[in-house]
Amino acid sequence: MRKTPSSSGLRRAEALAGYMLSLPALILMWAMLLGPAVSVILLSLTDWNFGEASLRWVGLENYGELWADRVFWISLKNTIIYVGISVPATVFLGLLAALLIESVSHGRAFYRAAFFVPVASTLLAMALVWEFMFHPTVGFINQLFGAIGLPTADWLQNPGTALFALIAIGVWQNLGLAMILFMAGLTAIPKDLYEALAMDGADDAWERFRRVTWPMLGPSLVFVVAITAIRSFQVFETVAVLTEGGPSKSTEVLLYTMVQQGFTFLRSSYGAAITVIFLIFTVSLTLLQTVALERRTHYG
Amino acid sequence: MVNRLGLLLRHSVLIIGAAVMLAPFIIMVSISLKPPGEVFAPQFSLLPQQWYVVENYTAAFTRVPLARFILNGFIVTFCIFLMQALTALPMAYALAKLHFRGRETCFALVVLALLIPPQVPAIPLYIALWQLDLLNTYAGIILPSTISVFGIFMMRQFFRTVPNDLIAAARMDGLGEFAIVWRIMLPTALPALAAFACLSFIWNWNEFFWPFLVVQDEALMTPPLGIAFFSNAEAGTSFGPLMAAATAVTAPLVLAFLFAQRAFIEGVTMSGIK
Amino acid sequence: MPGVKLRDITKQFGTTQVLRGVSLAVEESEFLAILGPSGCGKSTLLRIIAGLETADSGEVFIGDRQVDSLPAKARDLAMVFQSYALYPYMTVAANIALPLEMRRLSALQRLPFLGAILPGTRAARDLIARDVEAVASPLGLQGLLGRKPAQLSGGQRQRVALARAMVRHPAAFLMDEPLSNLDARLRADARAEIVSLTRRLGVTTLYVTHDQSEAMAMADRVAVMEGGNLLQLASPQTLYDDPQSLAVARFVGTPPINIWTIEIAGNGSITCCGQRLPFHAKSSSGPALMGLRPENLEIHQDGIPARVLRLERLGMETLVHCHIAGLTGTTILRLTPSAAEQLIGFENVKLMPKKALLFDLQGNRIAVAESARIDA
Repeated sequence: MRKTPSSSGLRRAEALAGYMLSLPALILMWAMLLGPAVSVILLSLTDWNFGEASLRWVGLENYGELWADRVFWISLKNTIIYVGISVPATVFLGLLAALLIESVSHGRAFYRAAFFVPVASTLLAMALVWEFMFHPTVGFINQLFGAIGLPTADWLQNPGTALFALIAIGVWQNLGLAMILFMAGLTAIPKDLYEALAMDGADDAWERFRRVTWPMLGPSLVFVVAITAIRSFQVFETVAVLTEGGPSKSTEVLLYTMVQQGFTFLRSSYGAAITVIFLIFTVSLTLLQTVALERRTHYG
Repeated sequence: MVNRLGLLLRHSVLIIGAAVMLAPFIIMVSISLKPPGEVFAPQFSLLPQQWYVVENYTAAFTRVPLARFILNGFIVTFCIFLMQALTALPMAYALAKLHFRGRETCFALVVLALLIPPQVPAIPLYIALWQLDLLNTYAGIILPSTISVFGIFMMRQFFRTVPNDLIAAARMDGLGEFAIVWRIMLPTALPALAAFACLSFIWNWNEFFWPFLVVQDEALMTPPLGIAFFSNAEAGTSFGPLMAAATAVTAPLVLAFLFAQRAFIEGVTMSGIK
Repeated sequence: MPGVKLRDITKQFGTTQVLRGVSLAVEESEFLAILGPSGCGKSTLLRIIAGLETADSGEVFIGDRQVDSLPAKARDLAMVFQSYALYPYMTVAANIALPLEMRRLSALQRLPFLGAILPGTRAARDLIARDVEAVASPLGLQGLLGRKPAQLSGGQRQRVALARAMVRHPAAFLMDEPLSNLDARLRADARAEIVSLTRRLGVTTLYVTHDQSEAMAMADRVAVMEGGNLLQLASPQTLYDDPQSLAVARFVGTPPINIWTIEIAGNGSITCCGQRLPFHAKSSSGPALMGLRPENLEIHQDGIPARVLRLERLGMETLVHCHIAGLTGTTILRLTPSAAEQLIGFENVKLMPKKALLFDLQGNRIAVAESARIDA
């Protein structure tokens, strides 16, 4: 198509409009997200503390300090334990809930709402309720456990159980999200696959799950795991308000350490280094997810 | 019949599950109705012997400026969503329907920004706002959230499904690109926008991390901050009013959720379908 | 191969009555097409036979076995779905093998790793693989056994669906519009393939379709349905020449049958637009309807005046579209190309029916008594 003078004028007008319309968003994106992300990486290579007049480039010194920092390793370990337990628990329970709800014909809306409400609620407020529930003597959990013969403990004060108490809260909050995402995946499975199975001689729950549901949920599974993992990595509120990293640093997690160093102790560059580690983990998770999904579509 | 038994079993499991999920809410409301003596009573009971509703809720609203916290919640979420919509919609349209050099690069930037968790920019943003003297202000709370890359992504996906003929007709009628965004694209995108609004509302109402860093004044506290403040200030002595405050803060969300379940869940599902 | 018999099947979904007491009998090894517009209940009927739905009342027999209480897998039927319903994450071979696996291996033997160790599994699986090969080769699928459905074309997927149905040697095939997802070119070939396949195997086949030319071309007999009722069950030619109701007459045949409004006098003579026609009705009087196939109209000086709208030249014949004043709609006339060319330049012609079907206003057939042509 030959470019007439007027058509290239039109093109230019369209391009101009494109730039103008995108400009506010682009500016904000750079100012609030991309720019600071780059800054944080750069900052981690300096020795700047908050409020100081000058800064010095120190290369990977902060990372060296992190490597030797006992608290950092405890924090990382705790975070990985947290993610390592809450992700399978959340995904498994979310899938179970989704399958059960899809399999009944009455009360779906109620169940769906009941399981999802924690996701919408204010975590902090609910965390305080959980704190009360974990109370060693009058808390609901110990009263219930005591009544049915399960062991009780001072959940939030005992270094051996505190992290698990927080994990319980985290799973409770994210389960509904996993469930909803699985339900979307389940409804996308064509019904006639189950009918073909029935004609082929398989109409029991195990065969249906194994031959159709599970394979078809593959992409959803990868996605839910990634989303849940990233959200779990971001654990902060419950630690900040309920345990403050204790008892005995048993609930010290990555973001909490970052805030301690970067804001409470005003060691901005050190905090920036921790932030970069955090970023590496979350980006890796997303990339893993993308790779896993690509492989699925090409070889699945 | 095996079928009946299986159905009964499934419902039982679901009901127990629902009870576990709802237990904290029920306990929260239950405690907010009880006087101090009963809160720590050895016997567990759902309803109070002595109804302390008025006292607890009044205490909640007077011991800390709870009404102010809730108001701040509305102010902050409203301003954030407004800014998000104002910036995301035009860019989403440009990415979806307009042709210009660097369009793919812009989209790549959006995807890149999606990879960045909200806590990563915290330190530099804090420093920048400190230098601009915007710490501890509404602007300080609102600014970092004004850009929603997720919103841009979601609306772009949606705009791509709008037929090109509609836009061509609008252009022939004399509408400029800017007008097209607001008068053509926005009305067709209302369901998607509603879903996004719900997500934005929940997310920003509940946001703790950034306001925690930026806010010092009681008067500026958003609901989660206010609750945390209350909890620290009263240090475990007045659970009743604390739970009343928690109920008051959670109520708008839960009510909104119940009324707009479809939009909420659609929004969340769409956040999944990347 | 046993036949299939349905007795008085009714089905209601919510407030909609989808099937209103349908009875039919399919002979052994017969190819029966179930034809009707969408919503007539044909798919539901097929699914009730398959066991995927249960009828509200009525019985289903396969051979002389009553199968109503049996689940789908126990009925020894195979179904080809409209979307083929191939398991996306299994290879073609695994897809075809599944029905055999489910029947020949026990639940333990079917377990992914454990089952392989159990005695007898290996032998059974080898047998299954051979049976899969045996059914895949005639359909030209032997080179595709290792592929997944997503890597196949529409026509190939359709054949895999057929193979999966065939591998069990079931008592009957059920097919739910299996060709509707193919493009027109492939459809004709696939039609022939399905017919020759079922004929060769001698399997009773029930074939649901909304395409009347497909039903007419493929089936031994056709069951025409509308609104949950079975209108007529007969061979294609009988449906064409001797439809029992207006609905059947309208549904079958391309181009569609012409319907003229007529008046039957007390003595049975018939007029249309005030003009006598050379037929007598055996009974009834008053307004009625006359069905005329396009090839049963001719140009005749005693005919009814009509205005030529256009000629549709199809090569081997020409369709002449006309409008008759006093009648709604277009009347289509089938002529040889040479006969049609003689009409060029003439706007007005006279049409005379050669053979007619009579219907009352409710759509029921009225008998015709032939009478002598009225001479000019």
